[in-house]
Amino acid sequence: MPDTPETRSFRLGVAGPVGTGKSSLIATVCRELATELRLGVITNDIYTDEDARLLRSAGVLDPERIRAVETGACPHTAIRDDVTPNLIAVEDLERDFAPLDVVLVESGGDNLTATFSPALVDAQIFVLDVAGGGDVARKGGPGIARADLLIVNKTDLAPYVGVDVEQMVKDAETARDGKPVIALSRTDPASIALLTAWVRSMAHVVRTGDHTPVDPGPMAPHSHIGENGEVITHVHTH
Amino acid sequence: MGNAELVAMMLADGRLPTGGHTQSGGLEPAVRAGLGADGRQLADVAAYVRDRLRTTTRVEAAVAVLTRHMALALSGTKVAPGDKNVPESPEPVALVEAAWAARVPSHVVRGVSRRQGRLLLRLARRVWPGVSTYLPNDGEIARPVVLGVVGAVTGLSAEQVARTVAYDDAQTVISASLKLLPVDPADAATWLAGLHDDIERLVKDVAPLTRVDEIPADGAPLIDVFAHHHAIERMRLFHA
Repeated sequence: MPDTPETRSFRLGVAGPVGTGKSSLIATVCRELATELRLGVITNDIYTDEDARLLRSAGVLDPERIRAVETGACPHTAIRDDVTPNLIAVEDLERDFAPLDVVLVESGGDNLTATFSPALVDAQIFVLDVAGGGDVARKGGPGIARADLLIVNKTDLAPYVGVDVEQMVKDAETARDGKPVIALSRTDPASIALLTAWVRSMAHVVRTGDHTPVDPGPMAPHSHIGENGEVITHVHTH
Repeated sequence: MGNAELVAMMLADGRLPTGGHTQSGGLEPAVRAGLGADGRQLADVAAYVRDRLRTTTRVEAAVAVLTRHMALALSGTKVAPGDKNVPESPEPVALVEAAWAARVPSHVVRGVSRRQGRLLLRLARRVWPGVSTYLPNDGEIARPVVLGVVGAVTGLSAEQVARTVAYDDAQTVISASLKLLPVDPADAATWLAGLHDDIERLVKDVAPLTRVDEIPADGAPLIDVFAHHHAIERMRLFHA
């Protein structure tokens, strides 16, 4: 089978810890954009094909356009150190449903340091949720600090878990040096519009060739208390 | 060409990005069927590897050895343009692939090997571009065939090729056992060391083969049955 670069889609990764709402975010994107963009989805379930099934049963996309890739209990490896199985799944999907505009690749939920290799995706979304704790954004990490888009999800739950969404978003913005942050709730149409506008504009940027994938990098910025009691944050170069 | 010993080490290293982390060598469905008895008979894992070395893995190693042999025989032949007696370059490799397929009755097992072969081919064409003399840029080709071609273009001996196949299969099963059963990693390494004689016996048997019809046809029907169960299993960690 020859390479067919003309069928190359915009490959968008979705990473973040388990349970933050990655599948639900992908279902939302599909529901909102399936009529204007030709979409495909690859999931990396850790133990089942649950995520793929959830998306198929959501009825937002032709079930054949949603494929699951096993990761041998190594979700981190599958999106970072050895992307080959995912890459082949993406390319096969692009070939079988050519032409596709966007292929979303969902990481099997991992920890705060798991980010996609630029060899697999053109851009990546990192998903946190308020229920995971208001301090997570401040703790930082490569995905939080440098993913193309950070989502603070489930903002509608904030009153029940005692999280100040505005403060969490502010912490995230500080950690991200101006890169976009969206406070998302599936019950808030305005926030969904922000998400779909970002996907649309990113797809356009990638398609016109004006985008260079940015590697969030595997090493997390790291803080400790200096001798004089002040908090020092830095990134190791090794 | 580099150093053959180092190439063999690279091929045997699970960190080589060829999707090895997605494989359990059939251990996951075997455990589901009772191997290891929920952790009460962990030595079953080593016995399972030994069974594979005597059956399916023996076939795979012989196929890799024959592919290497055919590729080398081809590259050593000075071909006159239009010489009808010498086959087109990819044909001998296709011949070995067909011989492999005839010895692997399960379409699921063939599918897994061909997918893993595709992953290895993808890497090999970047790292060892010489493989493209014998193989297409992309395609579902049995993994031992791709490995045999890599061996031919990097100067591996028949023994090194056979040993790489055998060691890789053993290590795939044993490292997967750490995720599937309550195994102490030091015990796992001890099992692997204990299998060295079995691996070397396999190497000694298949390395001298030079004819396709000498490839053994050993099979393990239960491994095939497990593979078929696994292919439709919902709850699984490993692809196969």
